[in-house]
Order: sequence, then C-alpha cells, then structure tokens
Amino acid sequence: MTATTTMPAMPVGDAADSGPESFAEFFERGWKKAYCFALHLVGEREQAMDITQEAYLRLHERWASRDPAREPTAWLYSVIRNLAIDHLRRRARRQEAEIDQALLRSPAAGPDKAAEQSELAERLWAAIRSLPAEQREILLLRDWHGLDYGQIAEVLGLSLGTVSSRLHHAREKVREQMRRYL
Amino acid sequence: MTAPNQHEEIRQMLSAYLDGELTQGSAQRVRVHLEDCEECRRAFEEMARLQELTKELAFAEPPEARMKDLEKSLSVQAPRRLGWLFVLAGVAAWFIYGTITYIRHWRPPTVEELIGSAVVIGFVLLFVSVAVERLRQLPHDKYRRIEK
Repeated sequence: MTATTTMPAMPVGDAADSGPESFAEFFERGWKKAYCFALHLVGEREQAMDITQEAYLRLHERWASRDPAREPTAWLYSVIRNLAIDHLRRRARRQEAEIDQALLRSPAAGPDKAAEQSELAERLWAAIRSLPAEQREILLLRDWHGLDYGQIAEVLGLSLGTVSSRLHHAREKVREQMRRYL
Repeated sequence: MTAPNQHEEIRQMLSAYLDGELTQGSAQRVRVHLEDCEECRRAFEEMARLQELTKELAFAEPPEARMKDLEKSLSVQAPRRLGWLFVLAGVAAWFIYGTITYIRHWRPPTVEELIGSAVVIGFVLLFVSVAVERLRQLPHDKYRRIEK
C-alpha cells in the first residue's frame, strides 16, 4: 500500500497550548507538510527533500534566538520558498517547473467509493495544476496546508488584500473547471 | 433585490467569507446577500465543497528514513555544542593556570616534566590541526549534520 500525506485535522499553523514549542515538536508535526510544500514548488522529489532538509537546518541554527511568541510555520515556509526559488533560478526553469500528476495518491476510502473519489481527486489536482504558479501556491497554502491569510502574506511577502484577491481568482478558476463534477 | 455592482462586490468576498477572514460587518453583508441570491449561494457551496476536496488530496509520502536521520542528527547538536564549549574553556583555563604557575615558581624542569610536556604539546597540536581542518570543511558541506 502506498503511503500518503493528507491534510491533518489540526492546521499546521496551530501551536501547542502548553508553553513554547520545542524544535523537535515543531519538526515532528510539520515536516511532512513542509516536504509537500517544497514538492509543490519544485516538482521534483529529490530536490524537495534536499530543500526541506536545508530549511530545517537553517531554522535549527536560529531556533534559540527566535521570538517564541511567534508561530514558526510561516518562517519555515518562507525559507523553503526562498530555497526553492534559488533552486529554480539556478536551473533557469521556474516557468517550466511541472508538478507531476503522479505526486497525487488515491485518497483513503472504502472500496465502493475509492474509484469515484480517486477520479474526482485527479480532476481537482489537474485543475489546480493548470493554475498560474502564483495562484496555485496560494490555493495550496490556504486549503491544503491550512495557513491563514496573515501567514500566507508573510510567506509570500504580499499584502492581505493581494492574498485574498489571488485566492478568490484561483478558486473561481478551479470551480469553473470542476462545476460539472460537483 | 441587490444592485448589480453590490452583487459583484459581494461575489468577490465569497472566498474570504469562506475562510472566516472578513470583518464582522462584511461577513454580515455576505450572509444577508447569500439568503437572497441563489447564484452566489451556489458559488459559495461549490467553493466550500472544493475546499473540502482539496484538504483531502493525498500526496506522495516523503522518504521517512531520511528525515528521521536528520531529526536525530539535529537533536544532538545542542549537547555537542555545549561539549565543545566546555572542552575549549577547560583547555584555555588550564593553559592560563599553567603559564601563571610556571612564571611564579620557575625552576629548571625535570626530565619527567619535559617528557610529559612533550606528550601534552603533541596532543594539543593534533587537536588544533583536526579542529582547523574541520572548520575549513564546514562552509563546503551543507549536509554535514545528516548521518549517511
């Protein structure tokens, strides 16, 4: 059976209630999603793995001097994004970066619904993949990674208004493509 | 009946309304509009459904063994750094104490002391050469903390 990473019940941005989170706790709750974020940006598993590792190493080096009151997810995602952009720039193929359709796995479901859900998921992923990179990025950060608008604005260096506007346009485009299947 | 320009304005707010990112006043306006406008209500329901479907998308699992190695490697960094700090501080204190003692109570060294000093100086030189070599390698090995 193929292992998969799905959206957990708790958004990645939720910090633990009891005191400042340790690096180990932060790593444990977020590394799979962080890897997927890198994967969505560069579209290559090996590079995504390298970028995720490098990002955690950088955070670890500065962990003691961070502001403990500030939730570190946006910081992690910013580092991953910068590393991914550097990687794509080096390879001069940011525009051509393709997200492999094969990255998607069948959702967990009973045998009756599995085929139907799998087909719907594939169509949805195809619709998301067809979005311009800047819209796809925001849509996934919000709906799959669970970041709020403030965190997305911090990761992408955008205003809240731009985040809201891009997300709206991204959702409208996906909805247009998916209407007949809903 | 909502005016066309207001309809379009509220339509643009549906996405932020879905995410709970509107102010109380704006959210109330959208709520009232949704009660009257079937077109916007349908668009909102479809957006909500797509959001749920997106949350459920499942992607390829990252190679767990590799990340576990990284986690283990990171967890030993703090004590390792502290260990180096103690070693360096101890060596420095020992050197200072030895120098002061030597100056205060100078006398011709015995053969045993000369042999002992040679061994200690040899160890110190080896330690320094290894430390310098490691420091030179650090900037070129970005995955130095990852266990192979």
